[in-house]
Amino acid sequence: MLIQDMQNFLVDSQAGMANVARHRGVSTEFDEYYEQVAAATVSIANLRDHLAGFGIPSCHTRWVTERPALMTPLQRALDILPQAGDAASKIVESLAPADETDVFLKGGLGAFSSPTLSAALVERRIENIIVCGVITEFGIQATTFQAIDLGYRPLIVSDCCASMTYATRELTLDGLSFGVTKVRPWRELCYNLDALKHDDVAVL
Amino acid sequence: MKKVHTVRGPINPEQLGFTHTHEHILCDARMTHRTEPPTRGAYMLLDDCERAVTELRKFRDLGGGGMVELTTAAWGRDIKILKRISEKSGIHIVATAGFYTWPFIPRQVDERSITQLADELIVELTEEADGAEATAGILKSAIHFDRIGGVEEKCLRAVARASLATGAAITTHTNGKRHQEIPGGNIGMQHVRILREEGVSMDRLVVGHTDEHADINFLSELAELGCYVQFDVLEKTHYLLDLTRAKLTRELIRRGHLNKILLGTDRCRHSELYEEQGGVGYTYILGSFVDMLKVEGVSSSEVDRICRVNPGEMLAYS
Repeated sequence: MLIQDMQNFLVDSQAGMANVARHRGVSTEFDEYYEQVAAATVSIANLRDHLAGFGIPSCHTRWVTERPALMTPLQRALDILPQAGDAASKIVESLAPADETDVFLKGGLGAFSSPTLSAALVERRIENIIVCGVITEFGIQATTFQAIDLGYRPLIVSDCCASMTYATRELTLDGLSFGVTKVRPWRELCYNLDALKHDDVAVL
Repeated sequence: MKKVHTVRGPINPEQLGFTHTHEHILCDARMTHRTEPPTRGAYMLLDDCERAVTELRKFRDLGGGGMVELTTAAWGRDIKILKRISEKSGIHIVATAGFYTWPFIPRQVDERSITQLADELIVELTEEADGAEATAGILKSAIHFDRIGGVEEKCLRAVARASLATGAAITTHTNGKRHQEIPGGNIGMQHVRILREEGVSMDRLVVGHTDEHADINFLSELAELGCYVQFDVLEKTHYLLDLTRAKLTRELIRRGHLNKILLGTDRCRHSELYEEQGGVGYTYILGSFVDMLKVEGVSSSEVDRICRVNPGEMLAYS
C-alpha cells in the first residue's frame, strides 16, 4: 500500500496550503478538498490496518524539495513545498509510520520520482501497488502513469484519495478507470481481499 | 458635466441604474484575424438580436438599468444594432472602442502608428462608430499571452492616448488565469506599468477578470493604486466559487475599497445566456449574487454603491 503525500502542508487544514489560501482570501475554494482529506485520512488508516492483517505492507511518500530553484510551476504556485526537515513535510500524526524506514522522499509529483522506491519494490518482489493519498488529479494520477510505465499494476482506492473538488475527483478517477487502471473504494477492496483469503491481490 | 456615453447618446451617471460593467450582447469569435477561426466547441458567439432584447428585458424587469458591452469592432461590435437593442429593451448600453486579444486584432493595425490608432479611437468615442449616429463610451485593452508586447502593447498605448484625450475609462481583459505569479508581476500590473508610462490616471483603469485567479492582497494593491477591481466572470465557478467572490467583495469593502468594486458576468456564449442551454441570462447578479453578498454581510447601500454608483463614476467623462 502506497500512501502518498499525507503530509502536514497538504493535509492539515490549519497549515501549509490552507494558510496560503487563507492569506489570499480564497479559503472557500478548498472546502471540498479538506472535506475529502478528512474522510480519506480515516479511510486510509482503516485500510492500512486491514491490509496489515493480510501481511500487506504499507509505505509513505513525502513530497519535499532540496532544490527550490528546480520547483515546478505548481510547486511555486503552492509556495510552500517544504524541505525534508521541516515540520510541514512530516506525515500527519494520525497516519505517521512507526519508523521512517518505509518513507520515500520524492521531489516530483509522482511517487516514482523517488530515487529509491522502485528499487525497494523490486527487492521485495512487489508488482501490485494499492495507491492512495493526495492529490488525486496531480500526484496520484502521476504515480499511476509512472507505475504502469514501469511495469507495476496500480490500484487506486477512490475514497482514500482527495481531489481539489468533487468534480475533478470524478473526472480524474473516471478517466483513470477507463482502460488505465482499477479504481475501487476501500471497503470493496477489503471485502474482495477477505473473499480471496490472501490468494492474489492482482485479481482484484 | 461628465456624462455616460451610451449608444443612445450621453446620459447623466445617475440615470444608468443597476449596471453590469462587463458583458457581451453581440460577439463572434469566428472573426479571428491571426489564427484559424474556431469551428468546434462552445466558442464565444452571441448573434441573435431578438433574443438579446428578450434577455435584456428580463434584466430590466428585475431592476437592471445599464450594461457595458465589451465587444470590440474587430470581433462583432455593431453599434447600429446595439442602439436598436437598447431602444427595444430599455437598457442603457455602453459600447466599446479598442482592442480584444491578439487573434482579434486586425492585420492592418500592424501598419498603423500608435498615434493613428489613437486618433481612430478618439473618433469612435467622440464622433461616430460603425457608421452609426452614436459613439462608443469606454476603451478596451486585452492581453493574450503571458506578457504584454508587440502589437498588443501598441494597441494598449493607443488606448492610453485615446483615454488621455477624451477622459474615457479603460477596461482590461487580463490573463491572470494563466500565470498570475510570473516573475516581474502579474498581468494587471503590466497594464498598470504601461498606462502609467503613458500618463494615464489609475482611476481610469478597470482591471478585468480579477476573479479568475484571485488574491485579496493583490486586489487590495490594485484598489490602493486607484484602479477599479472588477469581478466579472461571476457564475463561472470553474474559475472561482461565487461564495469566494462574495467573501472577497466583503473583504475589499472592509479594507476601504467599496468605491473601487465593479461586477459583471461576461456572458458570451449561448450556453451561458440561454436558460434552455443551461445559461442564467443577464439576471444572475440581481437574482442570486446580490443575495449572496447580503448573506456575507454586504449592506443594500453598499450593493447600490457597487452596482449603481461605481459604474456611473467609472464611465463618466466630459
